[in-house]
Amino acid sequence: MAITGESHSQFHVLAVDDSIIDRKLIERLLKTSSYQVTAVDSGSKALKFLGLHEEDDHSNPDRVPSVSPNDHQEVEVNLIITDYCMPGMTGYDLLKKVKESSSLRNIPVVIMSSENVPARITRCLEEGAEEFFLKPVRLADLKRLKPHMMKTKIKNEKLGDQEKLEKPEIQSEQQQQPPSQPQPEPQPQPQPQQSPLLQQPNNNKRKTMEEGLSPDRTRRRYNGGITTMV
Amino acid sequence: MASTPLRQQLSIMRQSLFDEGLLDHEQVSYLETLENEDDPDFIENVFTLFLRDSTRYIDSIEKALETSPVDYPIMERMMYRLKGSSASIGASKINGEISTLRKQFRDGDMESGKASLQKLKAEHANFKEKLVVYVGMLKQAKLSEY
Repeated sequence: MAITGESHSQFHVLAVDDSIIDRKLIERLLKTSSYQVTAVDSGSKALKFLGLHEEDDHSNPDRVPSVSPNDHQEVEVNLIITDYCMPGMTGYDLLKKVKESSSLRNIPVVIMSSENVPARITRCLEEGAEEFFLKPVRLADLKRLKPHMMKTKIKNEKLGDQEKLEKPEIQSEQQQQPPSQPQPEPQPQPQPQQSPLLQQPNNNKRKTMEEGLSPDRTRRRYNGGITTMV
Repeated sequence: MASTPLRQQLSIMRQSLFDEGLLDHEQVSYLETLENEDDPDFIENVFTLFLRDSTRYIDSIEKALETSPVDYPIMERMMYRLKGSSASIGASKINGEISTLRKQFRDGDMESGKASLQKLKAEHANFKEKLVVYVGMLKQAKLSEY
């Protein structure tokens, strides 16, 4: 697979989806975009992979999360992309757990869903999701991931340099930043004409459709053909 | 790729699947662009997975309907999964049928829902038959080129 332009192989994406077909698909999309991928089928497996054990482990009330800010995280993950609707832990639950974790909260999280539910989209974005993709996800959608991953890379590199100069305890404070980032959007995101329910939330992070980039796709979604969205 | 007789047959079958509305041209073409040397059997694999999973989902929906009381959570989950995976591989007819079915059950219209389920089963059987042939031809064409 030819790697065009800069290599993304240093970016590692954790994909979470309980559907094996969708998992294969997202994996293929991510690999085509030259990202490293780990795909798991549940939120709890995702947390395990991230090195965070679920706090609601009633069998051991004294258990603390096994990851601390400067601890070796099992693997560096630059982005989590998760399906919304999963049995047990939903993508939203996973998002919350990630954002509540001091060690993981800076990992950008993207939610995918095959259902276009504005309230759901808003909820996820408010909880700190960077993007909300409608399924089936397209390669063009993945292009929106890079800015989010770059931010964490740059931050991590800066921190890496600083660690050599400063005390370790300071790092965790410096890692904090507000959940909503200004989106590097080159173009506005108009509403799809046939879905009056889709109101623009306060921020413009939600992906509705790629106006100007994939008109065919827009037509396909909203003008009939395959009814992928209810 | 060379236009061998096998490839030509494949192309004809592919087109007829589109023409019959069984597969969505755009979605399938899109999946085909994702196949490359790193994952040369991607399409066959996802189609095969769909063949397997869709059958399971439909069986589960049927069983859930037959239990007393009806197991609505299972039905909902299975319908949701079938809807999702059919969209992912471009199985337009199935996707359409399942959306109808889902709405009917959600609206509490059991009569229509059950009728739609039978229709879905018939569509699915037809689709499977053809997809099995198509996947077989895909594999054959590839093997004959090695």
